[in-house]
This record gives sequence, C-alpha cells and structure tokens, in this order.
Amino acid sequence: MYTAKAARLAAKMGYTNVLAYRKGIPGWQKAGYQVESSLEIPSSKVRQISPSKLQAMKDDIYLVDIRGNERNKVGVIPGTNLWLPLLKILDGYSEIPQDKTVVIYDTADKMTLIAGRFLSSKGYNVSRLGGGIVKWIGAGLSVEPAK
Amino acid sequence: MKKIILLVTIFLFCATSAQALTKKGDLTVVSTNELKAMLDQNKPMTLVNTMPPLIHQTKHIPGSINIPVGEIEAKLPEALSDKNGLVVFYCMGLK
Repeated sequence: MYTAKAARLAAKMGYTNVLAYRKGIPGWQKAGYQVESSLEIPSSKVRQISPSKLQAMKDDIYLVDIRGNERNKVGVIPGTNLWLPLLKILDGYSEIPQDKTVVIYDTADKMTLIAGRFLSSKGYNVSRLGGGIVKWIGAGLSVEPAK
Repeated sequence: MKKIILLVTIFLFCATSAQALTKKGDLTVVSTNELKAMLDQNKPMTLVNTMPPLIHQTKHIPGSINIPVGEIEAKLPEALSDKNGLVVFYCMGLK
C-alpha cells in the first residue's frame, strides 16, 4: 500500500527509475534473507479489549489515537486524550502519563501491537482496542469529529 | 580463442546482471530475488522503507533508509538528488 503510493509520488516528482518491491519485509524474510534491527522490542503480549469494554472503562483510562490524518475522515472516539501518530511515537511517547492505564487504537488494529509493545518496553501499562475504530463503529458506538 | 572466451564472459555477465522487471499497471515491480541480486551486485540504488520510524527501526532490509510515505516529497530529494538514479520502495508488503 505504502510502496505503491511512494512509487507513484516519486514518479510524479520526476524520478525516472522507480521500482516497487511490493512483497516487502514479509517476502524478504520468507525467502530467508536477513533483516536488520536498530531497536529491540520484547515480543510481549499487548492485551486487546473490546469496544464495549472500552466504553465501560473510558473514564478510568488514558485513550491514545495512533492513526495518521485518516482520523479526519473517520472521526475519533469521544474522550480520546491524545493524538500521537505512529509516525511520531518514538519521539512523542513521553507525552503519555506513566501513572495511567493506557489504551491505544488505530483504524483496524494493524499497528497497535508494535506500538503497544514499544510502550510496554517503556514501562506503560497498555492495552489496545481490538479491531480498531472500525470495530468500534461496527458495534454501533459513536465517534466525533477530529479536532 | 581468447576473444571468444572474453565475449562469452561478457555475455554471461550481462545476462546475469539484467533484471527482468515486471510492469504492474503504472508501477515497475521488482521481485525478491531480483532485489537481492541487485543488492549483492552493489547496484547503485536508494532503497527506501516507507514505514514509520518505529517499524523501520525494529525491522528493515539491510542498506535501506527510512522515509515514511508522508514525507517522500520533502525528503526524497535530500536522499537522492539525481532524478535518474534508481530508487526502490518497500513497506510491510501487500495484505
């Protein structure tokens, strides 16, 4: 998804020799080729909570939206305390208070595992919204416009 | 005889170096083995991981740089000023 978008952007910018490696990291590893890492994060379990459970505990937790600008189209979960896009989490995570139980969410729960593991490694008590905001909306729960 | 050997050697080198790239719509696609061969041959290229920094730092293809997709327009010219230079993009793959 990102690969194709980046390749098209580069072509639009005038780059003439643009290739897309669409199999990405999974294809690379499947072929047995090495990957590098400059940040080791323990493969800890990050608890998933359901939309109804989140709704019930919303007043007692610190709710963080880790999506990018797509939140502007979809809306946000009422009571969201912080917008911290995954893009900025490495530099911005300290904005999250350490003394709160944290719940993170994204569009469809695709990026919350890695983000949750990262926050756990920094000492946070963190859970993730299973199914993301898509499941929240699917459960008939309301969203509000992003500010 | 030496000339023949030289010509055969050059032919074989060119044949193994050539990349049979595939067009998929408006994109030119490189396969896993083609990309590996290009890297092994030290083919000049800018290999770009388009994922957010957290994802890049936990796992990336050796030799790649990180430019998140939303920053391509701002940062690609810094990384590759030659518009005719080879640039290869990747992310976490197709779902």
